[in-house]
Amino acid sequence: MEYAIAVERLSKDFRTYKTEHGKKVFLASLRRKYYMKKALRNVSFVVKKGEIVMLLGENGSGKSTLIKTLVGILHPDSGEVRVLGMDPWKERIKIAWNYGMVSGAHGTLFNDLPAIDTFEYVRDLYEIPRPEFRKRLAYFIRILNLKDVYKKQVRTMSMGERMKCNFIASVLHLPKVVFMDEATIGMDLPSVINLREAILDMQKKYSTTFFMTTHIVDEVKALARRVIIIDRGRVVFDGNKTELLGLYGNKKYFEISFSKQPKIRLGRYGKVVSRGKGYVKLEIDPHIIRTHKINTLLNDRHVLDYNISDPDLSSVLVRFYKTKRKVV
Amino acid sequence: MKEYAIGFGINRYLSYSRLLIKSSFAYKTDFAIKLLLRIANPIIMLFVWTAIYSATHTSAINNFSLYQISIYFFIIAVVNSVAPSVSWAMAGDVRSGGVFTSLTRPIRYVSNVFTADATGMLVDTLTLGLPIFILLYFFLHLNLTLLSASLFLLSMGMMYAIAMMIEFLLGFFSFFTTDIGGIINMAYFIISFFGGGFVPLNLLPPSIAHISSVLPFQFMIYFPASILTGAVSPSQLFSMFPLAALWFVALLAANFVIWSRVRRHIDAVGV
Ligand SMILES: Nc1ncnc2c1ncn2[C@@H]1O[C@H](COP(=O)(O)OP(=O)(O)OP(=O)(O)O)[C@@H](O)[C@H]1O
Ligand SMILES: [Mg+2]
Repeated sequence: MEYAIAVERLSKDFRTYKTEHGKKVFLASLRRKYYMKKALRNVSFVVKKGEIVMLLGENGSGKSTLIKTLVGILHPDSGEVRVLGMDPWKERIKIAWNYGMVSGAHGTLFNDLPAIDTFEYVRDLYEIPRPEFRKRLAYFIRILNLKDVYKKQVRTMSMGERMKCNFIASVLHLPKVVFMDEATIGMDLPSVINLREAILDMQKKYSTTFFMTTHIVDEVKALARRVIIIDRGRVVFDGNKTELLGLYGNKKYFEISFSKQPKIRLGRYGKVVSRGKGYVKLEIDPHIIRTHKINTLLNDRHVLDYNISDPDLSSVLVRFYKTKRKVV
Repeated sequence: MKEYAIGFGINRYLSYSRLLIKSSFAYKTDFAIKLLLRIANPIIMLFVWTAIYSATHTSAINNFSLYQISIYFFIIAVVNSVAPSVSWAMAGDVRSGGVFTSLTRPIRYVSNVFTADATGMLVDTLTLGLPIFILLYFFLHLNLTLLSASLFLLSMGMMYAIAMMIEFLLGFFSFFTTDIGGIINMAYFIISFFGGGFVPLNLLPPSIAHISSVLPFQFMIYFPASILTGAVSPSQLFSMFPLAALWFVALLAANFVIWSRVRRHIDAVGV
């Protein structure tokens, strides 16, 4: 089958220079020392149609660069890129008909006019039939709770309102692939949740492919099955979210609060990861939960409450970023 | 949605143009103030040249009368209202990230820039160029015949085409350096000097006039400005045609080469 996105051995360097500070600024601007910044190195992966893929990585790891290369804004130094079977550099406009780019950093709205004017411009741009346009717009406006906001001059909108309108302006043409580069910063919780629903809905109805970056862990939890992590331009993880969670062993967290320290030694159950007054958090092997050992503990009259949870994504990610282990 | 439609798609650019017109009226820009600023320069020139003519006790310098020179500078104000200014627009795009947005849409960046400028040209011609021209016609009793009017329009066409090429060339510089303002202003100074913006070319020392006569800048100011003064005859204008065409083609080719380089190294300024 044809992939939505296929990248093979993609590399991209930036020619850049160090900017000096203080007194040296003037001299430095006269003779700049250029050097090459490796933004992407040997990146390979494929994304099937209808997949939702989260691209994660620390600041400056190359996420935005990768997306810009995927849509044909940047020219790859080496390697192959295919989006919907086409070369984005050579067929930028053809591909542009079929993808939507939602970027938190670059708004597409016309600031001096109400958002509806941009929406109508998008309608003309992608030749969306009017009744269809009205239907889609009504859908997005309802789901993102925008009521009359889109009739307000963009300049006077709140940041979240602008982000929502920006999203609409980028997906009104129901593209086959949607690229989202930190596209939800500033949105309130109900809208973010609705937006996620909209994304899942689009995926289900139209098999839309989503390729997105975010630093919001909740978003990864709610949307992605597949995660790609890049570190200094290299793919260091590509796999399921569950795989990622199990990366540091198949552990669970066991939290207990108590009125008085129980007699039983807690170290028997697992590693104590944090401890407070009347509270302890343990990292345990899941099979312990099924043994009688745990019952003795829970039956202790000093135990007030307990909670068993999976390792959370943020702690795994932090650990992963810290160790910078190469996994694939 | 059309599957893989490509092509010119003029409607897409017209829709953009409509949006820009709306945008330009979003704030009631004070057209009166803009108009005053535009005619301030020719009025100052009028004072300066009146002084020069009275000091030299002549009625014509190189066959150019004070009356002609006044018309000359007022027409320059008209020319400036029509002239393209894509270099500034492109510099702004680079700074604001407008390039990024254009490149993610099924439109050509260069066509988009052109559309925006042509729209601005229409607005400015109607709100600035035409009013100045009408003022000129009634107050300085411009001698307008069908022939002189068509020659004027023709020279304005030449001005527009060549100025557009030079403006794009300047605009592409903003993809290599973020500090483009100085370069554009420097270029404007050179264009003005050799194009007849400060002193009509026929009043310049022969050596400089000679250099000017082979450069493209004369088409941007001197020719459109002097047609209606009668200092340039129809045959003189026509004889300049091959040179203008040559410059246009050369500049167009340069633009093509530079744009493809710019596109490839667009990250130089960070999109
Ligand atoms: N146009 C450019 N010229 C020079 N260096 C650049 C350019 N664009 C990006 N870089 C550098 O390349 C690296 C990758 O940048 P990129 O914007 O892709 O990071 P990112 O993963 O999107 O980070 P963030 O999470 O902060 O958005 C960074 O070190 C950045 O400084
Ligand atoms: Mg980024």
